[in-house]
This record gives sequence, C-alpha cells and structure tokens, in this order.
Amino acid sequence: MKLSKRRKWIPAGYISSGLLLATVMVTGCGAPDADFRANEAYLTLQENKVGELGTRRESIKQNIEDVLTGLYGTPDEPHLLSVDGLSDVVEIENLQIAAGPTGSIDEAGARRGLYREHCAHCHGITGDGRGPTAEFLNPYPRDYRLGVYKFKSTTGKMPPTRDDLKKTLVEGIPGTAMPSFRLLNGFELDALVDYVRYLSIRGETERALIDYAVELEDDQNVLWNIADEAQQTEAKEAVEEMVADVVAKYVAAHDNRIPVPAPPENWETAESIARGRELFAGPIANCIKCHGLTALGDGVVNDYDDWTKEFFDPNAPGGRETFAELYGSTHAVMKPRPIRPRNLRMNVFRGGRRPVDLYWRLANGIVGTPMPAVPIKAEDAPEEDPRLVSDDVWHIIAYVRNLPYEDISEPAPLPKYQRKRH
Amino acid sequence: MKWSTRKQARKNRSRWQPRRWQPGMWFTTACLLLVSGCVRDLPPDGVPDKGTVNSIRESLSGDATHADTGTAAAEPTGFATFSGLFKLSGSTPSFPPLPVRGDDATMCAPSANSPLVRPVAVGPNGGLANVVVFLDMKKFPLDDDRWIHPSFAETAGDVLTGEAGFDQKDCVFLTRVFTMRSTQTLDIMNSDPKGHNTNIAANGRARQFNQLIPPGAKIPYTPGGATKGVCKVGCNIHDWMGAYIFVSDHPYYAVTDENGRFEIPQLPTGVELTFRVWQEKLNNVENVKVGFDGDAIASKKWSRGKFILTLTNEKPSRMDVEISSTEFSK
Repeated sequence: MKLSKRRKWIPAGYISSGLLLATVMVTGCGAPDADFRANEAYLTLQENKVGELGTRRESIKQNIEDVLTGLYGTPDEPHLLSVDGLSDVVEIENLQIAAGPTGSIDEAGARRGLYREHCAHCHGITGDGRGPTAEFLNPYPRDYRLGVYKFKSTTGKMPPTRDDLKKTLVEGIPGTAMPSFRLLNGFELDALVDYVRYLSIRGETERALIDYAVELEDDQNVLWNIADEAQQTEAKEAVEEMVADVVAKYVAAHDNRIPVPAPPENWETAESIARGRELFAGPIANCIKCHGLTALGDGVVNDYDDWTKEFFDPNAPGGRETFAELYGSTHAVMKPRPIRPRNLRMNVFRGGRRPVDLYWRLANGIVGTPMPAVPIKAEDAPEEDPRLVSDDVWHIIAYVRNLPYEDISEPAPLPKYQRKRH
Repeated sequence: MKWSTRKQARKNRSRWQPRRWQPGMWFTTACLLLVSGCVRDLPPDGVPDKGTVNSIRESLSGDATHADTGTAAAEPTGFATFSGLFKLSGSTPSFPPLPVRGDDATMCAPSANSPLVRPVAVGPNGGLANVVVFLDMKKFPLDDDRWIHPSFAETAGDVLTGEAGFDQKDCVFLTRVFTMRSTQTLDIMNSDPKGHNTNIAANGRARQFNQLIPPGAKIPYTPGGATKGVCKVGCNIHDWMGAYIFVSDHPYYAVTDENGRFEIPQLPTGVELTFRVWQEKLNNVENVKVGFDGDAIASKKWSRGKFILTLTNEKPSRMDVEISSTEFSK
C-alpha cells in the first residue's frame, strides 16, 4: 500500500520541477552581453596617488568607457581609428575574425569569435588576465593591459613583434597553463595575434586616460564633454596624443630587435661550458644570486612581478594598505604570488629553449620580472670595462643548456681521466 | 520526535498534503539552486552611452578642424630665476630601519648598521630634502629659444658621470631622487664589491632599464624620452634598496638639497607657468602654507600638487613652503 502511495506522488513532483526547468531554459540564465571591464584597480590606485575623485568617480569612469568605445569599439564590434600607423600595427579584418561571440559567423560564412573560444576563459574578455579560470592557475594568465610581455625579441620594454606573439601561440609556454595553438590555421593565429595587440593598445590607452582623468579640475565631471566645444577640442588633442604614444611603440617594435651575434667557434664544447659555469657564478652575470649555486632556482628572492607589484609592494610605504583596499572590498586584484627564479635543471624554459631564445632572455632580461639584463659591451670596448662580450653570453647559455645533464651534487664534473685519485 | 508520533502525523495528513521530502521536491530545490547560481556577482560595469560614443567617434575621425582657440596669445618676455625653500613644521616623522636580509648583510650593513635612508629627509633647520619641483605643462615649446634659454643647449647632451652620476654603495643608492634631461646620458655605477641590478621602472616615453651592474662598472642609461612624473628605481637583489628618477624633456626642474632649498634658473617670464611638486611619501605635495615674494604672481590655488606662477623679467622670485608633519602620518 505504501509503495502505491509513493508512486502517485513522484510524477507530481517531477512535473512541477520539469515545468520550472522548462521556464528557465526558455528565459535563459540572463548571460549579460560581452562587455569590456573597466580597470577599476588602476583607477583606485591613481586616485590614491593623485587625488580622490569622490562623487565624480562614476561619471568619469563612464566617460572613459565612452571614449574607449569610441576609439576601439566593443568586444563584438571592434573599431579602429585612422591614427598614423594603427592600421599597420593591427588589421581590422583580423580583429573581426577574432572578435564576436564564440561560434558566430559573419555574412560571408566565415568563423568568428576566436578570442572568446580559445583565450577569454583565462585572459578575460578585456584581456585583463581575469577570465573565469584565472584564479586557479599558477602562474596567473597575462594581463595584456600593461602592454608588457616577457618573451620577445625586442629591446627594453618595447612590445613584442607579431612573430614573437605567434611563436608563443604556436609553442605555448612550457611549464604554465598556456597551451600550444598549433592546430589553428595560419590566418587564425594572425587574427589572434592582432587581437592580443589590440587589447594591449586598448588597455594602455585606458591607463593613459585614467592618468589624465585623475588630474582633472574639481569642477570637471567628465574628461570629454560633448556639449562643451572648447573642452572637447582639448580632450580630443589629449586623447589623440595618448593613442599616438601607444601606437608609436608598436610601430617601432620591429626595428628595435635585440642584435644576436653568432656564437663563438668553440661554443658548447667542454671549454665553453666550463667558461659558462665560471661566469654563471661570477660577480658580473651574478646568476647564482637568484638561481642558486646549483641552478635549482633556490637563491634568495623576495619579490613579485611588475603586474603584482603595481598593487602589492610590501617594501613601499603604505604598500600593504593599498593592496588590502583593492583586494578586500572590490576584489579588483588577485592574491599576490611571489615570483620564483627558474629551476634551470628542468630543461623547461618558458620563453623557449632554442639558443636564440636564451640569448634574448640574457641580453634583455625578462621585462616585468626581476630578471635583469646581462651587461654586454661592444667588441671594441676596452679590456678594463667589466661588462661581458657576446661570446661570454653564449658560454653562459652553453652552461645553462648543459645543466639538466649534470650531476647536482657536483656541478659540471671533470672528465674521468682528469679526476685525481685520493 | 519519536518514530511512533511521526507515523501518527503521517496518518493524520490529508491526501493532497505532500510528504516532507519527496524526490520531486529535491529536484525542484536543485533546479532553484541552479537558477540562483547563475546570478553573476561581478560589479556592475557602465554600459557605454551610444550617443556620446558616436559623437566622440565622429569628432576623433573628423578631419580635425583644429579651431585655434586663441591660446597663442602669451609670449615670454625674458628670463628669470625661481628659487625656494621647503620646511617641515612639527616633529620629524620616524621610520623603522630598513630590513637588510640575505647573505650580503655584511656588505650592506657595515658594523651592523642598517642603511640610513628615510622617506622624509629633514635637514638641520627643518629643511625638507628630496622634494622635486618641475615645470609640468602639456604644451611647452621645446625648440623655441624664447621659451627655453639658449644656454641650456650646452648641457643637453651631457654624460652624467662620476659625482654627477648614479652610484650605489653599501647597498644604498647615493642619490635618493635623481633628475636628468631626456637627451642626457646617465652613468650607472656600482661602488660595492658585489653585483647589483638597477631596475628603472620608467614610464612615459623614457626607456625602461634593468641591468646587472658589476662591481666597478659604469653602465650608460639613455632615457631617450621623458617620464610621466617621478619613477621608482630599485635593486631586485637587495629589495630594500630604493631611489627615484625624474627624466624631463625641458631643463626646468630641481630637487631640494639637504637644507630644503631649490633653484630653477632662466625660466621664461611674463607667461603662466604650471609647476608640480612631488615628494616620495606624499606624491603630489598638497595642503601647504606657501608664501611668494613680491614679483611672482601666483594665480589659482595650489591644488593636486600644482601651482601656477607668472614671473617678472630679470627679477628673481622666491617661495617659502611649509608642510606640517601631520601630512606624513596620514
């Protein structure tokens, strides 16, 4: 009797919940339209530095978003202004392939939405390195908005060339969550490369706009007032200068590559490796300071990368308070993770393990991290100049490339016949 | 509740009253949870206003009818020197000693004394050192002899080296706040027996720099462009080391000395000049008591670290600035 009673009830429960489910399926969960997220953290940081915006904050933030949309469009409809060089640096056709919702197609039937399909879940729609999975990854996905990239062939803080970014896409970044996208077509890779550049340019412009906005006079509620012609002329000039400044770097990138001289003739011989080991521990290259004497990455480092240090600098006065403010209330930044020098014995190099990759890392350092450049002098520099010559850099590389095959307890043991018997 | 009483309750229930937890109800609850789980707790972000966006886009892509709004009116009449004194009123703020760590402690803290660097450096008479005063104008003609005194051309390409360079000893940057012109070259030196790296986090158009500086070396830094304000300099090997650099594309800047004094020579006169004042702890220097002497006309209030001044031809002007020590404890 009991059983039959239960049977009567089960269908009723399922029907009611089934109806509910059907309603949800019809109305959807209300996923919002894709939207570029404002750089709240940087705005707060600049406010702390320069001056509180108070009640003007919201209107200024909105205005910055309006200007950025005017300049660069939306995640579904990218736009490029006819600024000198911008169309050479990123091509609008490429952006259109990469932009848009996942799985969408354009009028010609070509696939769109590549960025959201392959990149956005980690790097975020805005390219702020805050996609849904970001917080679970170590290292965190790159925030493009600073325009700073680690693995590149260009000097100083110059942005990477298209080829550098493409290499990162094709090879992935070994030792991190960044996979290889080798299975994409060439033109799809080109589209993503341009889209990443686009997000960087947009992000850097946003930072410049924020810098400009916090300096506004107390009676200005917007940086670009469409109703006030004089103010608009001034704002227009300022914005054009900001964009030109950002674009200029990308235009110059290709001509600012690190010169890579050929390795010496005895390169990667026992002699070369021995010289490299000497330099590795010596006072000029000073590699052991961070990477440790055994190159296991166990030197003394108490540091963070530049993306973190901007918001969390425990050594700066008030650095911890600034971070607490940003992390605590708005969760505008992620938990800082200390940077770790690479263990060079793993044969895993994030920027690639080709000799030329390692040369670029040594000759330019790794921008955005504490890794400095090795001082290199010209061939004709005087003997007493303590800097290294390029041959020495190659010897260090020879030693580093040989490290995974060496005994840890006895770095670079001598050949058997040279060992002394005790 | 006892089992027997529950049984009783079930018996008393009417036919259409559902049992306490039916599988269907579990399912409904799960569905409700799923639905509520879809609410996104991202902070609401402004949606761009279409009208404004279109207007901005139109204006930006339009062929710039650069309506000169008659700003070219003022022309400099000559040159004059501007000097001043920064003083701290109230008690000198104290800071904990820098944390010297690692195996270089013997080199960095000789005789176990931590390096004596303070973010607020106060001289014997209350003078505030390391305050940067610089001309900060968006439009400043850099190649006009009426705006920039011709004598500055001599020093434009200087290599700052030796005493004038940027040196480090006992894990302290010997110059806490360094200023230079973007066309000059700076020699970065290391007078310590071990290696440092000097990491110049330059922004704006200045080149970023992060290189190892071997003991006794002289590594040139050519900024190639101006920074946006004052930037940090650090050493990643000794993370407590810190300094600041300001690179300018014009010659009108100064840092206060240990007595709190500064002097900017040969400034253009008869035109409104905007200056900015920076101090490492305060950033923009605000809330000050300021007195200008006779010939300088200060217009507008000192706000956001900026003040505006008009100088009179060939008449040196001065200002006295007093900052309360409570500003530093905020």
